[in-house]
Amino acid sequence: MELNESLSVIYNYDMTPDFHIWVLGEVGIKESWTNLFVVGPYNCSIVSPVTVGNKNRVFFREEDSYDIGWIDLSTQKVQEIGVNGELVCSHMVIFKENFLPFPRNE
Amino acid sequence: MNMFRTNFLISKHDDETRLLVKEQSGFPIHQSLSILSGERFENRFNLEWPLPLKQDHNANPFALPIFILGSATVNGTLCLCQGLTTVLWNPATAEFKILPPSFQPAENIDFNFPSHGFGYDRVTDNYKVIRKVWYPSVFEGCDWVYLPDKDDPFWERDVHGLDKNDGFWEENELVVKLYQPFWEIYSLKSDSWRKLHGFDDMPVPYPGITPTVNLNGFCHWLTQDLIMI
Repeated sequence: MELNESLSVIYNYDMTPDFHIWVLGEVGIKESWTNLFVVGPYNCSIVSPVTVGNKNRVFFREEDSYDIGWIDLSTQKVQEIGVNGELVCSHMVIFKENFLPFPRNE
Repeated sequence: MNMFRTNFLISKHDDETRLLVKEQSGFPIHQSLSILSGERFENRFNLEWPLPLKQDHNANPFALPIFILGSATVNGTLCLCQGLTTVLWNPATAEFKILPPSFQPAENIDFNFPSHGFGYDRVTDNYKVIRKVWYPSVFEGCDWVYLPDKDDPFWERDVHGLDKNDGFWEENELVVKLYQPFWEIYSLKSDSWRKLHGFDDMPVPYPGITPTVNLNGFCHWLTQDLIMI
């Protein structure tokens, strides 16, 4: 996932309730991975996390219920967003609007 | 370290967070796309799929799932994949581009494949899409499926226990010969694909399953061996 314009991963070792967030300092430099946060404990399975800048939220899909939730990295609290009726969330991405046309050859 | 963490959490963006969510249910599959916004994501706005992927899902039990490539829009643009169709789409302007088929090993036949990742090259102001392809090296007529004749000994053989490398498959021409699989890259500006050399061993990400990140023109994904690419 992306965390403030850096490549990062969130995972829990051996399904323990604590989640580790590692951030890559520089692409291609293996040694620049830094364990920046340990958050939790949470009793949910985090699948396909995405984040976006200003609110420091890690959005995720719950593996079993397919609900969407987010972790606030400042407070470490988990919030949930309901999904529509019978539908289940299968994918989510961060959305930013842009009205520019596609680039073309001059 | 605490100071570093605090600084890290100070945003480089100041825009409102919005989530684009694809939801799916049942069979025949119904799939919808909506934008969630607001402090608690209480506002929901439903989006229509772009024209090339539009279909009456209730009427078509064979509608294929639509995958969104990546983790975020790139300059407002999404890359969607349904079956063998790949579409670049800007929901704000409704502009879309259906990606053409690529390398043609046989005349008059369009081979197409699902795409695996996309990104924006800011140096050349261009969108690019990558995929790994397995082209058949032999293709004759319209023989997509080869079936032996009715009285061929093939039908008497119990094939369930056979290894996939067993000569039986080849003898009966049931093996589709492929070119060495390779990666290729599409450029929106040239509207064409070209072969990428030297990446033959790069693991393939699976849409909807493999965690993928679009960031600074890169497309990163997590492999099954947990190596970040």
